[in-house]
Amino acid sequence: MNCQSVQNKVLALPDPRQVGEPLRDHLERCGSCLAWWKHAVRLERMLERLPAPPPPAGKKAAVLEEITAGGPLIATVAHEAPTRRPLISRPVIAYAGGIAAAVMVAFGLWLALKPGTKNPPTVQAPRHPLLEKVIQRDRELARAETPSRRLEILSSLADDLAGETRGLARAATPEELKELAGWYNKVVDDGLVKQAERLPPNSLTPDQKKALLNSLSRKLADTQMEVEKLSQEVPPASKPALQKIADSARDGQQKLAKLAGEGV
Amino acid sequence: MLRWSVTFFACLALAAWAGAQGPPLSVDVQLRLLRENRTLLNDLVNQGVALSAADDLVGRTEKCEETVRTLGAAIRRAAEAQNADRIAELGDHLNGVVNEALIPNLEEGSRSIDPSSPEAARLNAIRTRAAGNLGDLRDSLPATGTLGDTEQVKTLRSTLAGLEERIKEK
Repeated sequence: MNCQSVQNKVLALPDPRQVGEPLRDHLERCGSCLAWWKHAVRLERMLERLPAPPPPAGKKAAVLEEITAGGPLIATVAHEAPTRRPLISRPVIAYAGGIAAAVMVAFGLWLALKPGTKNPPTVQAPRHPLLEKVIQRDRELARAETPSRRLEILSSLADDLAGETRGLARAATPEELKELAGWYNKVVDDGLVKQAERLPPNSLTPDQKKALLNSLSRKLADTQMEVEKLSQEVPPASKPALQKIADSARDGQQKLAKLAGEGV
Repeated sequence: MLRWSVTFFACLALAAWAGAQGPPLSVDVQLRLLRENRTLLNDLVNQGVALSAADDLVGRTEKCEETVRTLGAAIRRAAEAQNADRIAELGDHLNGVVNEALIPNLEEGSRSIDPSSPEAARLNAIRTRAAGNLGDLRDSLPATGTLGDTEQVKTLRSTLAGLEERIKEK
C-alpha cells in the first residue's frame, strides 16, 4: 500500500479519526502520511464546529412546491394486512378439550352410579364354544367348493374336538370323553381320510397334493403326541378315551402320509 | 395428530374386542354345556362329515337344510324347557346357517343350474321344505305368555319370518 492510496482511503472514510488496522500500520511507520492524517483529523474537527447558516427566506416553501409539483408524492398509503390470528389459541383449545373430557367422564360416572335408576342386570347364559365351532365348520363345509378346502375344514373340526377333549380330560367322566373320542374318530376316519382317498386326480398338482396331505398328516401327528402325553396325567378310567383319539390320529396320519407319498 | 388418532382408535377397538370376549368359561360350565348339547353335537358332527362327502351343490344344500332342521328341533326342545337364552343361542346359529350357507347355495343353484333339470327340481324341493320348516318353527314358538313375551323369542320369531320370506324369494 503506497502513500497515495493510503491518503485516498483516509479521505474516503466517513470519519478520519477512526482508521482501520491496515491504515493504522502504515501511519505508524510513515511520518508524512501521519502528518497528512493529522491535518485531515483537524479539518474534520473544524468542520464540525462551523455554525450552520440560516436558510434563505421562502426557501422551504419553494422546495416543497418543487417536490409536490408532479402530484402527490404518495398516492396511496399502504395498509398493513391484518395478521390472521385464530379466534381461539391452542392452549385455550387444549384446556377446553380437557374440561370437556372431564365433564364426559363425570357424566359417565354419574350415569353408572346414580342410585335408583338401574335396570336389573341381565345375565346372559354362557354360550357353548364347541357348539359354535362345530356349526361354523358345518357352515364352511356347506359352502366349500373344492375337495382340498373340505379337507382343511375337516382337519380344523378334528382339532376343535381334540382341543375340547384335552381341556376337559381331567374333569369329564370316562363316558363323556369316550363320546368326544368317538366324534374325533368319526371326523378323522369317515371324513378326513375318506375324502383324502377320494381326492380327484386333477383337483391338485402332485406337489400341491403332497404338501396338503403332509400338512394334514403333521397336524394329526401333533394331536397324537399331545394326547398321549396327556393320557399319562389323567385318571386310569379316562385313559382309554384318550388312547382312542391317539390311535385315530396315528392311523389317520399314516394313511395320509402314504397317500402323500403316492401322490408324487 | 394422525398418529395419535390411529393409536387412540386402535386402543378403542382393542378394548371393545377384549370386552366382547367375556370371561373364559370355567371347566364346570364347559362340562355342563357339553352335557346339554351332546345330542345336538352328535348330530352336527355327523352332518359335517356327510357334508364333506357331498360332491355337488344340490347335495351340499340338502345336507345344509338337514342342519337347519336339526337346529330347529333343538330350538323346539329349548322352548319346551322354557329356556329363552338357549332359544336365542340356537336361533343365532340357525340364522347363521341359513344366511351364510343355505341361502347362498340356493342363490348359486338358481344361477348355475338349468331350470328344467332334475337338479333344479331337487333344489326347488329343498327351498319349499326349508321355507315350510322355518314357518312351522316360528309358529311353534309362543307369541304370548312368559316365554313368548321375552325379547329372545320375539326376536327369533321375527328373524324366522324374515328368513322364510327370503328363501321363498330365491
